[in-house]
Amino acid sequence: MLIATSFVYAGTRHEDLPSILRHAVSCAVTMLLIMLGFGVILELLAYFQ
Amino acid sequence: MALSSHDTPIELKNPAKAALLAWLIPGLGHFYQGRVAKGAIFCVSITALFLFGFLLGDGKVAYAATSDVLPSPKQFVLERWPFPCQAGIGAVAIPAIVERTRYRGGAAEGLFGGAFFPPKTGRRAQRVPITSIDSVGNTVTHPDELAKWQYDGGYYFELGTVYTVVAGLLNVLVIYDAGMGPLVQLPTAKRKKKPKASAAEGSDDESATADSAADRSATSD
Repeated sequence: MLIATSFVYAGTRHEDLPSILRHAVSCAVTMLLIMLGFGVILELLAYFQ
Repeated sequence: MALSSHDTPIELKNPAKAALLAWLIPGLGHFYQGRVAKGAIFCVSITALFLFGFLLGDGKVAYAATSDVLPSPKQFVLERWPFPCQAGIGAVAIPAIVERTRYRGGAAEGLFGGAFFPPKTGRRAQRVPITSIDSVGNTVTHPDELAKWQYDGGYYFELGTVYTVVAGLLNVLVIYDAGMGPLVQLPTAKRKKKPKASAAEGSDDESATADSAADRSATSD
């Protein structure tokens, strides 16, 4: 889902393939980092519970 | 004509037809316009996402509600909220609407092996007992077919629904792209530096407004 969402999001914002790929990668990394951040917060909350 | 992110004009061949094709099958509108790379990206991404969800949900997660659409569409949406989202893909919406119409007409089975056919609920569900066998061999009786699907599928039913919903919503972006071109990300506008003389007079809004008014009056003179 992450890959598909990144590609579609980037594809609807650029016309040339290199820009789409660059944007897709940055978008996927950003989403991954956000999810990892939430995961870490949840793990910490579970640890200190 | 739309602009790309590099302000290059893009000729969009027949935007309305392309948008319709993009709705029918993700990426088809872009293929029609000759934007093959983007078409391939959209087609593969959205189709794969939808099919993955569809298979996770055992082919039962995409169907339309059976209640009347008019006079209140609210009930239609509330009965099966994922469907309006999944309907972002025409290849899903059309068979689902066909199967809904057949269901309301009294059909007992679906045309596509049960896919897109609404679950038997209400009086229809009481005609035949709807049962499942649980993990230890006991028979579980369900009030209707939707309950059976959710019981049998477990969380995969919900997960499959979410995947198909996301695929349908992403295709809305693709339809827009086929009809209107890419959503251009404009570069951040650089502010021009004020001349030192005007900067010294003050930078608050009132003085700026007064300056521009004075400029206007000077021009008119």
